[in-house]
Amino acid sequence: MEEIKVKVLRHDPEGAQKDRFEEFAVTGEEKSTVLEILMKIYDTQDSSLAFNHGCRAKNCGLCAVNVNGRPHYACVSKISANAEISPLQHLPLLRDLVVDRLPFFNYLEAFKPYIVREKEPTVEPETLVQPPEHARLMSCLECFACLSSCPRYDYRDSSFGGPLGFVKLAQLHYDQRDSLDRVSQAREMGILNCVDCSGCTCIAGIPLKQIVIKPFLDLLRKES
Amino acid sequence: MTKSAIMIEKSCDLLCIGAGGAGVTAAITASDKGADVILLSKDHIGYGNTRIIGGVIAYGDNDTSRQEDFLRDMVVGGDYLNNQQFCRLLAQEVGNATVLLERYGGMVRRDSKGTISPEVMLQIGGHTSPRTLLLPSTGPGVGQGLRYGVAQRKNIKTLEKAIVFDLLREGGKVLGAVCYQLSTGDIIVIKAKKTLLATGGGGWLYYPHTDTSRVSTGDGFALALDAGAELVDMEQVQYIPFSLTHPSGMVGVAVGEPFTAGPAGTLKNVHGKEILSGVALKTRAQVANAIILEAAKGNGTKYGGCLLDIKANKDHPQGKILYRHYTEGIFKPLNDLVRVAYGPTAAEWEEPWDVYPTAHYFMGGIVVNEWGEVKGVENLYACGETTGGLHGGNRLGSVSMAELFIFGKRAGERAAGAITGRDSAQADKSLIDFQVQSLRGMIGRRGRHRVIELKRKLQKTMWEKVGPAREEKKLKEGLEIFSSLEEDFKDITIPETNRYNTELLDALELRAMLPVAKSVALSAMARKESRGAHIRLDYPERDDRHWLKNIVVKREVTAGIAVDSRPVELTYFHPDGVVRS
Repeated sequence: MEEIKVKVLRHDPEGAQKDRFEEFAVTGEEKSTVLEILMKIYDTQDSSLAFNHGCRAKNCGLCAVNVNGRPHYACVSKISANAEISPLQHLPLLRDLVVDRLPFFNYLEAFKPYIVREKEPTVEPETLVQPPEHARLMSCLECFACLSSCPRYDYRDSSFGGPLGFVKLAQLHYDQRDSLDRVSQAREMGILNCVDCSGCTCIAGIPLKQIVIKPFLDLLRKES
Repeated sequence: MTKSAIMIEKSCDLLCIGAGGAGVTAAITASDKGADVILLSKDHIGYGNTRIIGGVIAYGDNDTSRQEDFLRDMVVGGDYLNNQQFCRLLAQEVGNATVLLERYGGMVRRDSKGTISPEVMLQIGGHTSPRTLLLPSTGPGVGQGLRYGVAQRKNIKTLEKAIVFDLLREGGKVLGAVCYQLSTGDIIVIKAKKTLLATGGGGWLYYPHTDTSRVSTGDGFALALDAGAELVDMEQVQYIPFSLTHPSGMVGVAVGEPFTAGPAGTLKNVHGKEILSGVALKTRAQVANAIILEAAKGNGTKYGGCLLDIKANKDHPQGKILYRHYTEGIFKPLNDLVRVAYGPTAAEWEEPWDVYPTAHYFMGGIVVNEWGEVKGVENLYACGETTGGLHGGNRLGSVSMAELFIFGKRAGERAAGAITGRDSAQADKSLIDFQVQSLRGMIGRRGRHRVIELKRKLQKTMWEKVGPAREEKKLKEGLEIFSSLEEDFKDITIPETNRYNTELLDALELRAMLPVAKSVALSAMARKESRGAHIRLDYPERDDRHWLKNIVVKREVTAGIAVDSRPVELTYFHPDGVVRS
């Protein structure tokens, strides 16, 4: 057991105080995770601290936060001394480390984020060949870390849907049940901004450039 | 001073509380039948424990003898506590679960021709034949598919990050609910012609010894109890046999099922003695119970666990395949967790894993009929983990995923069918005002106790007194602690903020957890035998002569929670042989 000092960003939507880092000293152990430390602060020192988590096992994506400026899953990331924990960027803040996910999904609605079939299947279960890219993309945790790492994304700018937007379109693009032109939608969503940029990262390990952005850009290039 | 929370009123035909697999399926089904639906989630749409499933779903066709086998497996696996009618329905309709999952947007694994053939079917613990399909994108794939299904339907309105404070109840009828929305800080009154509970289980009552999502605080059990419903078999809490025992932040995180032992793995105590053979094809209860009893004898590791040694699989023809699944295939996420917790040697299977069971699933729950109608309460429906009966004393792997779709559809269909133009969703204004005032009264309350401390005390008590290895003395101690927590709960502190008031959320959750904890402890005390997932150190044997019974709890106006038992209806199978088929 040792004492670990961390700084956590505080944001109060109802108070007058400006956003600031607050320092906490917590006892932890060598393998303590960021989530464990946040929960310890909440349990033993300050229950007004707001943060999200779900499964503690890197499965739900809800605990993604920035640690020293880079996105991490709090549940499986080891804490380091003097770590600065802050919310994901480019997203509306609800309180402290909690971002609002709703504006993104509201934005997405215009793109019909669901399977639009040409005709209903006659026999079910259908015969479906699943490309590996589809299986990979459906395992997206929707943790929003890619939006935070993207140099261009801002939730207030509707001309650019960001990497998560492109992932949602790519899921449907690779889905043989879907009939809409998701490539054109990617252009409408601003994917041409991604030429010559590889700023975004997926902390769940989905190769965004390789199976989302490049294929869309290649197809758009072929069309023009 | 903060302004008091805004009150918003909404109305709908059907209010679905909970938006995992069961709630979403019910909402979609009802909406396709023309109902206006409000789908409320404490997290987001398609989350809860559905979002974090390991990735298996039971499947079957129209072959009646295979259905019969499936039914028998569920009943035998469930130690004869199951509602066998529900089991039969599930066995008959199981194929439709995959159809629905895929209609919304999910996808199961197929063969290279794109069909669901015997070669993609797996046999997992407790099943006597292969009838399990893999979901290649696991929980996130299912969850995102569910969201597709909701996004497509304009007559489903969603309400995320909202927790129900209470159902609007009048004379045995449910007329909607009052809830608090964390993300906005609003108090929302929802007037509904029909209300459906799909809130999942209560695994979080055992935190940190659980692999469930933090939202699993048993909300639906408590809401149903308050509305006059019965809860059945609440003592039956399923443990996944293999979870991490350390480091402290990762305790309870699941890393394996019985099949993880593989054909060549062994399960040993700290002295190296094998404690159970043929682990891979045993049920969760059998494997979990072996570990629990061995550790209770004092033969556990310094972390209280047993040792799962799976190294020999690396030199075994079938074991090698399992190893590959774990190191580079569908189960890699589990191996990654072992790596974080125990290091690279353990993740290479060169070193045994220190494991102990973790609370995973509540077999017990609200008493409903096969259409999800809650017994004894008008206008109220329930489906999914929050209901009881289907799984009896032990749930077989991959069955609950199918259950969500099959029973979610049945409940959604029935609820939508029962909505008539004559129904008014008008709760009395004084009732609404009273509930809104009660909820508002919690915000800014200044008392002596911090809510999180009470919550953690409840969780610690659940594990230590009402956990895996039970005995009368401990259960009584547990009940006493719960009673003192009820007193403490009357004197809590909640800050005066509206938006994202997590202490208010904790308080509302604890308010549900208290009666659920009592229900589990009282049911566990009543069942004086060991059956299914319920182990009594003081009554170690299964006792068919006295205990082929379901234990039922109900809230009594004067006596708190009352316990009763009734003989199990052994419709098709009896421990002594077939009753009738």
